[in-house]
This record gives sequence, C-alpha cells and structure tokens, in this order.
Amino acid sequence: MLHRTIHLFRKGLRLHDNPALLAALESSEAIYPVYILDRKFMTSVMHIGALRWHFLLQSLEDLQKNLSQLGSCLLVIQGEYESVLRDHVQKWNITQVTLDAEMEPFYKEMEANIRRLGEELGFEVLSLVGHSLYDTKRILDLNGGTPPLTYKRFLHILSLLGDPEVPVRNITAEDFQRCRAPELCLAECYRVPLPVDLKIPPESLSPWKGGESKGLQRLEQHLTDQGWVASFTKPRTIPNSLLPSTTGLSPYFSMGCLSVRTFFYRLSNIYAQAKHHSLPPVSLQGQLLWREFFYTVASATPNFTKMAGNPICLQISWDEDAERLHKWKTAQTGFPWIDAIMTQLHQEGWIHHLARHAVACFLTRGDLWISWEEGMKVFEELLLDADYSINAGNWMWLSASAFFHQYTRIFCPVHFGRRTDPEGQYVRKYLPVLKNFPSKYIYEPWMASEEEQKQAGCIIGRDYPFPMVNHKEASDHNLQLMKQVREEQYGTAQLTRDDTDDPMEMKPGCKAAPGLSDGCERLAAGSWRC
Amino acid sequence: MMKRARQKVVIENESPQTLQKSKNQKTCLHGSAFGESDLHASMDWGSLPHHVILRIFQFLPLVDRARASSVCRRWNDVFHIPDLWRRFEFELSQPATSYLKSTHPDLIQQIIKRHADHLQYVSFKVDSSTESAEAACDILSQLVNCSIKTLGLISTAKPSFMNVSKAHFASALTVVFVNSKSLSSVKIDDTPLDDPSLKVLVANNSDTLKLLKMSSCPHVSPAGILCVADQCHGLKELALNYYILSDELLLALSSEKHVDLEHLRIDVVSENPGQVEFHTIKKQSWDAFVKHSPKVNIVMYFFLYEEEFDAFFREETPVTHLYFGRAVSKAMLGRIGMNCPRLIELVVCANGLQPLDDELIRIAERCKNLTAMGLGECEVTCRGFIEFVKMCGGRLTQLSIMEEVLIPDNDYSLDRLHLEVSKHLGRMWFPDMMPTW
Repeated sequence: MLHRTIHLFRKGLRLHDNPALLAALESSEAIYPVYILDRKFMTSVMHIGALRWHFLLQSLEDLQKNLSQLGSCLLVIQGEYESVLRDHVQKWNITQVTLDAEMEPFYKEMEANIRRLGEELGFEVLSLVGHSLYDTKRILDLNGGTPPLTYKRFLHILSLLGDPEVPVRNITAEDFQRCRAPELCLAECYRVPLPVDLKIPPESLSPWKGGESKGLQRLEQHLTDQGWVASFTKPRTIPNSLLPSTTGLSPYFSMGCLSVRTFFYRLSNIYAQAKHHSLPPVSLQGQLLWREFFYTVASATPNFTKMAGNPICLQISWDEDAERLHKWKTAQTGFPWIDAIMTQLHQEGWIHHLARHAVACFLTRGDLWISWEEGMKVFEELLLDADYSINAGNWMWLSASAFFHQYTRIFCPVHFGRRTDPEGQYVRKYLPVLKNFPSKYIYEPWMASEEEQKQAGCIIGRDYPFPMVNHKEASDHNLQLMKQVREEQYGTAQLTRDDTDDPMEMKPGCKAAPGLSDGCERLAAGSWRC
Repeated sequence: MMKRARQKVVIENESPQTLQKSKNQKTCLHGSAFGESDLHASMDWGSLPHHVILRIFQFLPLVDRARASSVCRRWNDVFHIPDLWRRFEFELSQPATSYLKSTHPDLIQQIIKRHADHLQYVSFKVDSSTESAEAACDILSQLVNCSIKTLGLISTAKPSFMNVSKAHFASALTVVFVNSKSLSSVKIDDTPLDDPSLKVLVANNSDTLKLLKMSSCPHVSPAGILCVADQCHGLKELALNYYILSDELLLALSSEKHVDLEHLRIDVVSENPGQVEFHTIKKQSWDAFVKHSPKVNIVMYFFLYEEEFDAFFREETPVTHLYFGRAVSKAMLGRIGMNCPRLIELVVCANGLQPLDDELIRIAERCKNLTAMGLGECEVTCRGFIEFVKMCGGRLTQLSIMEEVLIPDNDYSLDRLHLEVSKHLGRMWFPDMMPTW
C-alpha cells in the first residue's frame, strides 16, 4: 500500500542526501513536504537571534524554489506542531509521517510525541539518520556502550568503524511525478513567511545567505579553490581567515542545508587524487569529525548543555556578574581584540574558531570567571551555526570544564590578537573608532599617551572604554582557582582526559624531581600566554 | 561550647559501620566478648581511649574535627593534643574580594594562644590584598616559642607580601628565624626578603636548613645568598633568580663541607626589555658544581624577550630542565643543542615564524638525555618533526606539540605524521588538537 505522507523538515533543509525524504518518496503516492514553524517551541529550546531567523527563512525559500523546480512545493505551516499535525493529518488523509532523526533531547521528545499521535490518529512514523556522518549508536557500541570522552579515543574508534554512511541517491523530478505533489492553492496558503511576518528586521546585513543552493555553491568553490589547503591549516598566519569566509560551511551544516556525508565523500575523492593535502583534524574533514565527536558525547551524556548534573563537567562556582557579562556581550570590554570579535559576531553571525577561543577564554577561565553557560547562550543567539551539542561541547572545552586540561594556557587578549594579525586590520575594520591608532597600540590603546590618543581621534575612557580587567591579575587569580577546582575534582577531570603526553601536566603522585611539579604550575605564571 | 548528652551505644555482633576509619577500633571496642550487653552498656563514644580518637581525628579535615571537638570534653581534649597541631596552613583572604577560603579569626587566635608551641610545618596562603599579607606577618610575629621546621609563604595571586613594609616583614621573619632554630625548609618567593634577614636565618638554622626557595625576592643581593651557601652545608634545594647567581655561589655550594645539591632552580626574568645585561657564569664554576653534585637537577625558567638571550649558553652549561615562558630566539635554541648535554626536559612556549627543524634535530643528536618536550607557538615542518622523533625514539616519554605548530610539507601530511610519530615512539600519539567549528 502506498502512503500519503507528510515529510517533516526540521533540520535537513535540503534535497540532496536526504534519506528520510527519499524513503518518503519511494513509499508514497502523495507527499506533502512540510516545515512547521512552531515559534513557541523553537524559542523555548534555543535562543535565536535575528540573523539566524533570516538564515532560516532564506533556507526555506531556497527549499521551496528547489522543490518547485522538481514539480513540488514546500508548505510552511505556522503554529504548535502537535495541533498542526492533528489538523492536517485529517485534512489530507495522512498515513505516514517521515522525518530526520535528530539527537537533541527536545527533538527526541518531539519525535516521541509524534509517534504517540501516530498511534492515536493511525499514521506510521519513519525517522532516519541524516545529520551525522555515522549512526551514533554504532560508535557507542564499539566503545562498549558509552561515548568516547576524548577526541583521540574517538578517532581511534572511528578508525575501527571504517567509512561513514554513504550519501543516498539524488531526488529527481520523476520521483515527484510518481508521487503526487500538494495542490497549488496550498503552496499559496503556506508560503515562506517574510521577516516582517515574524517581526524581525527586514534585512540581514550578514554576508552569509541561507539555503542548500548557496551551500552547494560554496562547497564547489571550496573544493575547486587550490588555495584552501594552505589557508585552512595555517589560520594563524593569515589574518584574512578572520574575515567572513567565502568558503566557510559551518552554518550550512548546522541547519542541514548541506549534507556532511556528501561533503566527506567529496573530500575523500579529492584526497585520493591529490598529492598535497592535509588530513584531519586541522583540515576540513577534521571539522566534521569534531562535530561528530560532540554529537556522540552529547547523545549519551545527561544534562550535556548544563554544568549542574553533567557528569563530565567540572562543577565550578563561576561569578554571577550581569554587568560584566553585558560588557562582554556588547563588545565593551576595552580590549580591542575581544571587542572586534564580538562586533563581528553581532554583525555577521560567524567568527573564526580561533576568535571563538579568544572570547570564550576571556569570559570564563581567563579573565571574567563567568559561567560558560552564559557564553553558550550568547553564541546560541548570535551564531548562524549555533548547534545544541557543538556549542555546549566547545564551551566546556574552552572553559576547561571538560575535554581540555591545559588550563595554564590562557589566551592573552592583547598578544593573541597581535600574533594573529600584527597590523590590526581586523580590529580596524570592526571597531572603526580605533582605526587611527598605530599598530603598536591597536591592541592596547590605553597604553598610548594622551597626545597619541588625541591624534588617533579616540580618547580611552571616553570614546572607547578602559580595559575592564587587569589581565595579568585576573588570569593569575583564575589560574589558582582553576588549580584548586581540579585538585578537588580530580576524578571528573580525568574522565575526559587522555594519558597525557605533555611534560607540563604532571599527574599528582607521579615521580618528579623535587620541586619540578610545582615548577610546572609556576610555568603558568607568565607562560603559555598565547 | 555545646555539650551533647553522652550516647549509650549498644554494640551488636556486626562491627560498627561508622568506625570503618580505623581497624584498631574493633579490637578496642569489642575486647574479647561479643554481644554481652552489660559489658557494652558502660562503653560509649565519649570514653574511647585518647589515642583512638586521635587516630580518627587525624583522618578528619579541620572543619570536621572542630565540630567533633564540641561533642564532649574528652573529644575536646583530644582536639587540642599537640600532635594535631604540628601542621597548619593559614589561609588569609579578604572575603569581599576573594573566593579563596579564609581561616576563621577565632581559630587563628586559638592556635596562637594554645598551639603556637606545637606548630612545626606552617604555611601562609594569602590572596592579593595587602591586609592578608600583613595578617600573615602579624601571626608570624607571635610564634615566639615555636620550633618550626617548615615555613611557606604563598601568594596565590599578586605578590601581596611585597606591599608589606620591609621593616614589618623583616621583624616577623626574624621572630621565626631566631626562635625556631631548626628550620629545614623555607619557601618565601615573592617577598621583601633581604640580606640581613638571610643572615639571621643562617645564624640560627645553618645546621638544619635543607631547602630554600626565594625566587623573585628583589632585595636580596648576591652577597646575601652567598652567606647562605657558605654556612648552610646541608642545603639540598635552592631556588633563586639569576641576578644573584654568581661564580662564588656555585663554588661555595661545591665546597667539600657541602652536601650534594639535589635541585637548583634559577628564574631568569626581565621586566624591561633590553635594559638588563645579564652576566655570565664561568664554565669552570659550572664544572665544579656538577662535579660536586653529579645528580643535581638544574632547572632554568626564562621569561625574557627575544633580544635578551645573548649571554646564555655560549659555553657548555649543565642545565637539565629548561622552560621558556615567553619567546625564545632561534639562535638560542641552536646554542642549546650545542651546549646542553645534560638536558632532560625542554618546554618552549613561543618562538616565531621560522621553522625550528635544524635546531630540533641538533637537540636530538646532542641531548641524549632528553625525555620530555613541549612546543607551543612555534613552527616546525612535519618532515623535521618526524626526523626529530625518529632520532629520539622511545626515550621521549613526554611529547607535546600544538597541532597548529606543524607545517605539512611534500613528504608528510598531518595524518601520516601522527602515524609515523606513533611508530617511532612505540605508542599511540597525537598532537594537541583544538576543536574547529
């Protein structure tokens, strides 16, 4: 019996490599491609800023366009998902609902509710994995039922697992001919809303435009561009990498506009042919593996996006300081490197991963000693590629709450920027008030004399804030706190830690020359300051 | 003081769960008879023998011990037994500005009143406020009838002792130095310690002093530390700053009367780039020093700017552990390869944008004792790095390199690299990776 199917897009906003959609087409005589815009649900589970709404709407527009080219259309229905489904299952005589299997707890709950509804109203539910390289369960099984908690161990498990799932075949117009598309009037009724309909600003100023088509374009550019190897692996030496990337792909992966499996296999083909290449993890394939790592750990760790009740996360009494958090969030720390990054984040919705490290370290273990959960919420709101598990995982990493243990390496908000971009082009672009400072002072303008500040047309304390902390004092202090925490919670810290190869990380009780192990801590005072 | 009514405990056949802490408990309580109620009716927690309670208390943190001491007089007596007051760390911080715990002032008073004489291993942990450092000095000044063996002054953040007046600090130290007469270990980094105080230390404790850590004590002169070396022949561990290291000092530490030194730590610090000219130590002095103490660990921490390294390692230097906290010049690393045959451990925080292949390979060739290395913000080609690891082989028990340091080249990609390195080390190895997202 052929089904009458609603295919529910949640992420997976694409037609290529979409296992659930393909399964729907192959098993149905009529198909309704639906996106339920349940604003209440969406804003209750994640913060969404204006830029990401724009990206989403653009992605939906693109999906709609691509579907109509194949003789179908996208139906965007606004409302609470359960009542929307109730209405339309009856209206359209639906016998099957297909959707991507997603691992976030709120999506799992949604799927469970839909299944319950299916039992009640008499429709089947089919969900297939399409958002990750591997079926997470296989990874867990190979690791004895629990997730590998260090990246190195994860890579080891993957090496046993072999290659990821292969992308499924492309969908064609024939598929939609066999399978009747929704009536035309519906397309009119359920068109993609405009920004004004959602009460967000009409224009997005971000250079990133959503959608599968744009994603695929970038993918092609990425793969055909000869320079990508060098530029990706040495971001530190090329300041251009801080600027909005024309070949970056992370927001497209996070919304599912691009299939990670497709990308993985395209890259593999290139590696097989090319002589000069760099392989994981600094490379592009590495980006996918990091993503996979955090998904895997998140899928099997309770309270992954919180500190409380999270078994792998150090329990730290972070400061609660709304004013300092606000300064960080609104790019008023007085440290140009930090403020420029936060400005780019607000304006464009994307910052380079080294920039993320810098601001995350500053907020948490480096300078302000504010909880990583606060930073995570801000990123969630502002980043186009905000992803439930990856965002949380990275924040835990960067705050040294889990996964990362060289807490003595604190990024200096002055020196890190200076080394990455000695002339300060990036700062000048995003903080034009500082653009006339000479490179000598661009990262620490408070060091310039009053005369020099006048010449630069910017008086520190008036036109641009004083630095909100004394970095050396704050970081020294925080280093001691972190040291205490780690001594007290040694067990938790060990969970996400490899056997260390780092001579600076001496395990307690290990044989060391007298005085050497405390020397390693002493090294922190003034050292490893990036 | 709270006194709870004595509790009568009837002891059943099973051993009491709550007394798992000390096996001695069982034999004391049960004696030879089990379950005879008339024998046990007269036994209660309050009448445990002193040494039993003492043993239990030794397992308890101070806070719990203090609570326990309010239970009954006997327990209170035990709480004050000198044995429990040999070791104490005074934690001094201003609650308004610090999260670090602070020892309760009442407790401090109690200790000074009742236990000053018992203290033997004492440390003071202070936060960045001057008040905390001054409070530490006040306490020190009152430890008159003590025989302290170990003294530690620890600044957890800023060096707050430096804000205490020299006079106040010196007089506080003098109290301890003069009265203890058996000081064996003294850690007073980042303090306004001066030559006269060192003289007092030496005058009273020369027979017992084994460890002295005084890095970043800017008021001490080479003569001051020389006095220590001349008189304290049992000194085994010394930590100081480079500017007070002298040929005379090394020779004094190598005199026949002197025991073998085990650990010498030298901090080389510059606050003002290019404004300090560093003196050199003669090769003969180092030679004599190592001849006298062949197993000594010589640990050097460098916090210099790139142009300040000229004076160092121009001749053979017996350093064993090297840490470069700021940048280090390529030329300097080259000289290390040439002149540091005893090198065991090398950590480079930051170098520059020129690959360090040649320097690393030379270090692998000539530093045959190297077992640990860490590389931070540097550049090394994959080929160079693999060559280095191949030459060192399995003796590298610790190897850390940030992934961004490695430059892929015609011969090796990062992926192949980690496999090659693992092969040469004889274990699974990866560089240090940061997530990209």
